[in-house]
Amino acid sequence: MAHVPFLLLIEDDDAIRTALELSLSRQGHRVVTAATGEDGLKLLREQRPDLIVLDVMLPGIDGFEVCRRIRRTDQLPIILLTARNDDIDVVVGLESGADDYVVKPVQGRVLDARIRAVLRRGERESSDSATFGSLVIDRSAMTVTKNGEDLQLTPTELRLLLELSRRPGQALSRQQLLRLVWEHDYLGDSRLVDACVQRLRAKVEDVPSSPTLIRTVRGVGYRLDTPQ
Amino acid sequence: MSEPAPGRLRGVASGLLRWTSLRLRLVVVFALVALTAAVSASGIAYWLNRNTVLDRTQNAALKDFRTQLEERTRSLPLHPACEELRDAARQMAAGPQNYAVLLLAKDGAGRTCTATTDRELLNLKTVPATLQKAVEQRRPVDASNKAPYHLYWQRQEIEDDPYFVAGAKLNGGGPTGYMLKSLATERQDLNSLAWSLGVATLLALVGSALLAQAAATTVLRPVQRLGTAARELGEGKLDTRLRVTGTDELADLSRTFNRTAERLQQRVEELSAREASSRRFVADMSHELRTPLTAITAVTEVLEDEAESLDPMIAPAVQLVVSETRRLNDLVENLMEVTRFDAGTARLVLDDVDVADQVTACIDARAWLDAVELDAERGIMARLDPRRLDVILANLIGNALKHGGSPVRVSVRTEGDSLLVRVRDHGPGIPEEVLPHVFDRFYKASASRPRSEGSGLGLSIALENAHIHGGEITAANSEEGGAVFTLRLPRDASRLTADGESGSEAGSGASAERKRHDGGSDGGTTAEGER
Repeated sequence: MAHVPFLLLIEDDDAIRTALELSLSRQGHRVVTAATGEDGLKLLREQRPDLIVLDVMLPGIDGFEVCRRIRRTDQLPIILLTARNDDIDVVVGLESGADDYVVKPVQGRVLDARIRAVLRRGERESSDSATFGSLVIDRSAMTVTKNGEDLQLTPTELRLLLELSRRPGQALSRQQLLRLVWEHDYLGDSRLVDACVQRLRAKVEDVPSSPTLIRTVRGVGYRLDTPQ
Repeated sequence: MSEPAPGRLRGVASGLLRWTSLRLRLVVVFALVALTAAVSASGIAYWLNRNTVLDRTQNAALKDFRTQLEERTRSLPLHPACEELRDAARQMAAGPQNYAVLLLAKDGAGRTCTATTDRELLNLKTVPATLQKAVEQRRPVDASNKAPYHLYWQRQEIEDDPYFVAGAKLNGGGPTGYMLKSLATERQDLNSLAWSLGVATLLALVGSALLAQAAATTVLRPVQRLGTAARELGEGKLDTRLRVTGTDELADLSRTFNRTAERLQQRVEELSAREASSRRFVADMSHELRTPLTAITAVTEVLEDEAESLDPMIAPAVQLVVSETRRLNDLVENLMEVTRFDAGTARLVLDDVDVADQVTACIDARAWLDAVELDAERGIMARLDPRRLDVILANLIGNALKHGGSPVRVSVRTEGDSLLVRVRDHGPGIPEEVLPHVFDRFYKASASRPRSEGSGLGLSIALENAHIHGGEITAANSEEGGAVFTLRLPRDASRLTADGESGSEAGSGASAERKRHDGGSDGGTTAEGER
């Protein structure tokens, strides 16, 4: 991408906010910051950033709620900053629509790598299209339509669908998908894949609880099928 | 109460065994008391009865005999003829007392004439010689003895039948008379009395046994309840209480039990509350440490990048800050990991992985390829938490490299349903006295040891990670020298998670915190261990 990534950092702790802003700016990002979820949502509407780095523990509305509110209208990438990497935090965060998460304390370099990986997911790579039943994936326009209607997918969901659609009928393991979509080359969290598949199913399947497109392959991972 | 049926059966069986002796003892004691009482009562009753019956019969017979002897012989001459004697005997025997009579007298010619009404049973041979002698004996007459001859009697058995024999010599000369009365009727009566008493004794015995049973049951049931409750208490059901009824000793005991249980429960609750609060403190503390650490970590890179352009006096200081920040990060991470294990909030995030790939990735990520010999075939699949396996491997291999020295040999094998990973170093091995403590937290082999680079939690965390998989790590010394750590994990750990279907659902709950999500960029630094 030619332009400098524009980030919104929502973090309540002054020291962390300053430190991360400093670090991310040095990595070549343009950063605006907010100390509360409410301020962050306001800034999102006013400034239209490319990506949001969102702390979970916020005064007032918490990070999960902020995430859910953003997802009602926007599909821009969200990376969660979790201070407590307990199970519930991660799972709830992923369910509320986050694309990825990092655990505090995080090195600026690592966060930068994650941000760039998430942003890359929206980039166009080829210019053909594929059809799976009523689902049409237009790789040139980077759009997905179902029964002719545009689907609102986040870049991560879109990338996951693209990677699966590139190998129709072939099962991909969670670790493979983590490498392909999230660019985690080592010990990725398989729950990222599971959560993203859940969200994707909710958008593309007729009946999300009995999927016909994105199938679970026990002991392996996931597979995109053309419905019979 | 929710015990499975076989367990309850076993419990009942052992309970029976336990109570048998006490119950038996009670029954035996009751029976002995009843037996003693019944036997002595029966004995006394029998003895009294026997005396009364015999005395009455004898006295009646004797009285009659005495009168008859006097009346019938008074009319006889001094030396009666045998015929007359026989008549007199017959007349005497014809009385209502129904006894046989034997009369002896000397006739005119000086011959002794014997007249008997029963030749077979009553003659001079059957009458005991002692009796005859006593009857014939003449005693001097004085103030206390009014007559020279007396009436004597005794009981004897003739051919197993009881008889009563009496004899007397008429004072002032005259025939000697003997009588013989059968006591068969009395014996029969006494026998049936004995039988009745025997039966009564037996009934008393049975009754006492039943009573003992009942008593044992009433006494033992509370004891049994007490035993069950004590067992439950011992098994950790601290809310076990007994229902107290009555005011007897057992009720007292039950109350004591309840009080003890209550106090025990209070104490345990107190202790676990205290433990929980200290755990919470550690957890909160590590959380609190994380906030400043996050800020510091984010800017250390800025410092690191600038270190080369800084004053040579300042650069080492910056380097120190950077490296110590990393260490502090690892320490806090490990502390948090430990608190999660202690609090039981650690969860497995299972995935199907190729173990050889995982080991290779672990070694590769920490740039240990040169120092580690890997003996693992690709294709050994296992369902486990890859991150936790990585933590275990990193700690074991890191520990081996630090304390054992290269080459470290890592072999992966399967054994039934288990996965075996052996990490062997070529160092001096682990001293015997240290071996049991290698997995202890913050255990240092010697107090004088220099400050270690590790947090002292590495091997302990590795062990906890193995345990949460249902696996185990053992430490030993190899015979060829060097220490061997053996990790044994089940090949499919999914039975340990609440849902076996953890693969497909993100919100499945069978998920774990992520400690190192960042692609191993700080690889190797969590590998520590203390020996």
